[in-house]
Amino acid sequence: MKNFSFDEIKKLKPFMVKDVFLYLILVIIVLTLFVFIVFLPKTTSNGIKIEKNNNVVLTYYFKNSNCIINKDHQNLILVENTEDLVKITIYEDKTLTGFNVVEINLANKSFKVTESNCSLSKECVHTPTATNGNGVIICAPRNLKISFITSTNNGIVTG
Amino acid sequence: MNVYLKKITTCAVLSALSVLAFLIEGLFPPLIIPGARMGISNVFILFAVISLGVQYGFTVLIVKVLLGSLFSGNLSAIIYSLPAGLIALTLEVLLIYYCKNISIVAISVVGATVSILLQNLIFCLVTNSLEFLIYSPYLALLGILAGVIVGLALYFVVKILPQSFINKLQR
Repeated sequence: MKNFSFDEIKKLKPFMVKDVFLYLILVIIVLTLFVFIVFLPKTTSNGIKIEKNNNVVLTYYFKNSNCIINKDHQNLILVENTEDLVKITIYEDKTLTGFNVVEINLANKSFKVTESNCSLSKECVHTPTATNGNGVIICAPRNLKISFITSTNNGIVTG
Repeated sequence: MNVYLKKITTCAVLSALSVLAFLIEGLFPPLIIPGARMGISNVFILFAVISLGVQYGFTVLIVKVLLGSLFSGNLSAIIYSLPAGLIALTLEVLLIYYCKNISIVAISVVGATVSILLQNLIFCLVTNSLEFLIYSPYLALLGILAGVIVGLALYFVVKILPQSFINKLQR
């Protein structure tokens, strides 16, 4: 490709008439995303599941407040119940130094990671609260994934 | 040979500025979801494409992603940022070359939106969590805003720079 003329670029304005076509395409894409991803899907959630290394280690069902923990992780997961909150501390290994704290709000059926010492950026802590049966929080350094249990994905604890 | 050396040197300076901007962006609080940035470093990438040439633009992009991820301690960002950045920059270059009379702001908006959506998609596929796609509409809006800011910044840089400076690089 030849180097194009810098003079041509200098002559362009911040907004040209042909820009309208590009912006129209982008608006259509954004609207389509909103309709098909945010507004249309109506999911009801039965509970929350926590996966570590792609294995379900904990399942919490809203209906009967039933909490099922993988038997290999019994010593690595601590569950504390209060009236409207369930606080789950997941330790990385037997040394109990690395941890993530997940808080489940039973009133509005949402969850959030409130504490973690996974990395400097702590992206799992900064991820917005997952509500309304949608959303997922991932802690990449710990290979941890917290998501809702819906009718299409059951949270059968493996192990 | 002299022009080639000037281009290499300018490319190196733009790469350094791009990495610096990338690192500074990372210090700001996350936007919508962690990892989402304003993309100010793309000003230097697009400027390299316009003033030096396509291959220099791609060089600045690759250096920015590799060194920026290395210095920020987030090497996994390479998996998401590099393919998305390459595809978005290719699209921008095609628009610059083959679509006349389109403003640099619009090109920047398209590139930013495509880049951020692709990064989200790649993240969903790599982590096997398609639930993250729920953030894509909000990320698209963020991409449009970021593209406008980057495009306007580049527009004013191009406006202010004297023609003689660019002539020395391109001859």
